[in-house]
Amino acid sequence: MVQHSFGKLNNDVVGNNLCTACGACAGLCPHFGSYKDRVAPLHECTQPLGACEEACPRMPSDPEALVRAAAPQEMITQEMGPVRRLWVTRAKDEDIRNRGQHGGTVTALAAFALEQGLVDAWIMARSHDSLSGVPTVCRTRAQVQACAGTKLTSVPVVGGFLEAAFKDPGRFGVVATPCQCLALAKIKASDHPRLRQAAEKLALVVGLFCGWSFGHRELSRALSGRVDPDDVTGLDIPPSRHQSLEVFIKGRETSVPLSKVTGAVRPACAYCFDMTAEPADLSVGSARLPGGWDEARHWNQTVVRSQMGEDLLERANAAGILTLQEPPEGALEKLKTAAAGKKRTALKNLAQLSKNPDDLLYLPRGFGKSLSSTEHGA
Amino acid sequence: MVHPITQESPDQVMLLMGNEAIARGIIEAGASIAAAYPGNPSSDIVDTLAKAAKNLDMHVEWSVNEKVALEVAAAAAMTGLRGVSAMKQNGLNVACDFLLNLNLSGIRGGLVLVICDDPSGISSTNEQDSRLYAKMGELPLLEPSTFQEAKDMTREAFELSEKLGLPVLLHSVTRLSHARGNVTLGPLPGPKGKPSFDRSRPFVNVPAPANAHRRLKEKIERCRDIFESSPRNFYQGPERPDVMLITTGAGLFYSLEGVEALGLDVQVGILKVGTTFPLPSRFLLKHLKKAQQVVFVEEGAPFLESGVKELYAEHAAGLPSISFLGKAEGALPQVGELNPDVMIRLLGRLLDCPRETRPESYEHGIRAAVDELVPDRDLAFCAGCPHRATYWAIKQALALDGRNGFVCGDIGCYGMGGGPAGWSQMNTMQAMGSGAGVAAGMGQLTNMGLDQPVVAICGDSTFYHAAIPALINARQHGSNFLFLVLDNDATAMTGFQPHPGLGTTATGQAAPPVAIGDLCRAMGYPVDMCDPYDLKATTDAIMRGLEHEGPQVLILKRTCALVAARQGIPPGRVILDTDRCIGENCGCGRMCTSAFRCPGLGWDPVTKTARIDQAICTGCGVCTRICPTGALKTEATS
Ligand SMILES: Cc1cc2nc3c(=O)[nH]c(=O)nc-3n(C[C@H](O)[C@H](O)[C@H](O)COP(=O)(O)OP(=O)(O)OC[C@H]3O[C@@H](n4cnc5c(N)ncnc54)[C@H](O)[C@@H]3O)c2cc1C
Repeated sequence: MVQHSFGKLNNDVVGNNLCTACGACAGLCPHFGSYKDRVAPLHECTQPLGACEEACPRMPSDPEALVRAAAPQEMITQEMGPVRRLWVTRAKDEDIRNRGQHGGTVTALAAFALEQGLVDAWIMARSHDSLSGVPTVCRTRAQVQACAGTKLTSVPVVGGFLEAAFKDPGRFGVVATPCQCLALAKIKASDHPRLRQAAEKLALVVGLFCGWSFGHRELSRALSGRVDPDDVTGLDIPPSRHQSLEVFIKGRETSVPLSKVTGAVRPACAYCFDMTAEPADLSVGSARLPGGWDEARHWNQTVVRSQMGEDLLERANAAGILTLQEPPEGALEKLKTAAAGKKRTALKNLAQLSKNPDDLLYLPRGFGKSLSSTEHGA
Repeated sequence: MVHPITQESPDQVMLLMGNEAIARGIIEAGASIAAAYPGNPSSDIVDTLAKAAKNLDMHVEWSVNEKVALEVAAAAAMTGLRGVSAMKQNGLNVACDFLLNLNLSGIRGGLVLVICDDPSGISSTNEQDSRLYAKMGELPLLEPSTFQEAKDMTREAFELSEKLGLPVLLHSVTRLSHARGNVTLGPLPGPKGKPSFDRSRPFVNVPAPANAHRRLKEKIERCRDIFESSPRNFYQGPERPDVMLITTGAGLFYSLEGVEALGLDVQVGILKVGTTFPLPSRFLLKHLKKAQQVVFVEEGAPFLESGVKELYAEHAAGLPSISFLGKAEGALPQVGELNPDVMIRLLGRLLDCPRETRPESYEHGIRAAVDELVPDRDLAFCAGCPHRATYWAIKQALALDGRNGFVCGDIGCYGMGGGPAGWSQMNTMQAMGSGAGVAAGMGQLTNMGLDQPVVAICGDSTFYHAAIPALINARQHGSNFLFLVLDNDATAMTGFQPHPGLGTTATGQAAPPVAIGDLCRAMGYPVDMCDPYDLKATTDAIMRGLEHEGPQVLILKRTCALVAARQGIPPGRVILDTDRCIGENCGCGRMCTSAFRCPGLGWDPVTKTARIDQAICTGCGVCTRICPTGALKTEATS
């Protein structure tokens, strides 16, 4: 029996709680829709090999093959994909640093790429309400800046990109979480005519490190009673030993024990193998510095992955947009350890879900085999 | 112009629909008030009177619901005049609390309640035999069989009502109400009296309802006496029939057709009973004496059948041994409408003259031809119907909400939302307004762990009819649900009768409109309003409603497409940019014709693109919001 793509996404992805709400399917096809951090199959469709299936980051693919071309073989790591270089970075512009989640690297780079004409627009996550975001097309520096700050719930930016790509001319950059980066990579690699049409418009991908995200509804519920979800202006998760969720409320900051909100984590995140957004040109996360979180929170770690990423960073540096510093001793190793930890957890959970140690559902058989099993996540 | 139904030309023959014949009977009887809530197959009675009202000295109204209609009509009969109400079976259920008190308190004028049953539920949500109410309410029941009888027995019902001081039930079914036949008109009435209320003889059953009940029993026995000699009951056929058909109402035609088709008039007799409660026992016993084999032919329940069997059991000693065949024995179906074939087959079997009513091969042939030639058609909303847009938005919103929310609904065109027309989005459907009532209960269960959002849905006419008490109840008890009013400015399903929101009455008089939003706000609900044609705004409004804690009202306001078409030019014209239509390809997959399925849209198998049927399309433009490529678009009409 032919299973239609719609059925596969509906059963294997949504039905298995694997959906990351990247929005790829909804951006490709009106049979799917998205709202806040949810993507849902809406109307039965009978396409046997739809673009949705090709693009969905939770339909089978070989993620390692997808990133192989980004960098020379010797720069490909088991734990975190292609790594040309790791930097500690932050925006030179103080205003951007103040708005940015950490060092404002992403916002500064995005504004720079726009002004340099490397892209005509960015697809970014703008706040919708205090806890959720919407994908937005940013054509100006002001629009890019308005998207600064992390929304800890999924924002279907891949859907936003596809919608824009089918409608508007020009070349786009996308700021995306790891699962979204995988969707974008699949779109780029596919020869499905619809996806080729979109891929031509994809110029640059800036990935974000990601441990996991929250479900919007679940997070609101978990926070209510502690803080008024409507007053929240930002959230952050400091390094894991803090065991807390930082909640910013109109200038004030409070913290909620992580144990109170872990139940609100999106179930799909348990099956994600990528912490550092491997299929990107550059990946950006928070830094780990000797001065501890109070210092590090104002900086980023930036992984240079592709030639394009390298060029962008160099130009930004030369133009005085970013401060670049050598990472502290052992930073890359720490990052690899953490990334490997996420991979191992995902593989374990996938095998549990499939009830077959060899069946990793959306990942190829044997994926991550060579990760040393003695290491443990940070 | 004088409406033809009101013409003063006794003995003239007119071709009338059964319901029109009843309306003429009401006119001839000189009723002063006719009040009803529409519902098929009864609607044409008051529709006809409303159209003729300006030539009549009669108040005609579409009331807010059937109970109020009967109360309004009863007022005439409480002041010495004549009143009438007409309703379908479901309506009688609504009205019966009043009716089953009025039977005891009695009346002083004439009150006739016409009940039109819908065997098979062709235009109903249920199938019910309303005649059982006559037995429960101990009220006289008349069942006309012919179009002439429909008129004449209506007039007679008023006379009987006045004679007994009791409301009289006149029963019809779809085949009588909606078919046409020749009717000889009678004279029009003279001037009516002046109504007056006699305070010394109140209509109050307490403190001793049992006494009133005793008086009712006496009246019904008097009625039985009257029925003994009614010309509406007669026997035709041989003196010693092999088979006696005992029939009433539309059953008479099936009986006659069966007898005639098989040429059995020398073997089969027909005992036709027009007064089926209380049964004229002496009349029946007299004719039962000549019977050996009796077959009961009636629509609905074995009502006449069980009455006659009961009578036979009581008097068996003086009667020959008779074998009875009816619904109880399974000889005739207890559900669904009767048809002549059933009769022909049964009589053929009984009298050993089998006649194939329709050869099986012929039937197979027809089926095969239908399968091949006739496209599968579901019940569907009209092109441009706002309900299609509404259900689309509901479907999207519930799916995106992701908590398996469900919809409690009720009766109206939007009732089709329970089927493919509305993508099965409506999940409960019982009485008028029961969506709101059931949701009021569901909205309590959300406090006990029901974690699915609850939506109730209701049309504008239904809102006034029965949703208001449920909403007040829900408000008082803090039920948590989203209430959608599908306000299309019409009581569309039954034929566009005015309702309290429309600022007009059955006879076209201006009336102060009663605004749904104002009523809801007065009950304390937050009220939002939206145009269902705007799919995105509607979906978002529903999503907001689903996420909102506490009860809420969302009015989806858009005039019924049929009303809009009658009022003037459609808002635009939908055209197709064939270059943009990607048809069956990935990214659309014929969204407009396979998922949305407006009858104004078709599929061109040659070009493999959508096709707009301009004859059907109303230009509402909702499909342009569904088309993913912008191939469907609206064009301004001059
Ligand atoms: C769900 C989530 C989880 C994360 N988890 C970690 C983690 O465990 N460890 C870690 O080091 N870093 C994590 N990050 C990344 C971190 O929060 C910062 O985004 C990153 O350090 C860049 O900082 P910045 O100051 O340069 O960002 P900014 O200059 O503020 O720019 C942030 C950019 O991220 C985009 N964005 C915000 N939210 C989302 C979203 N939900 N989806 C897609 N794009 C979004 C915005 O559009 C903006 O362009 C996470 C980010 C997200 C979105």
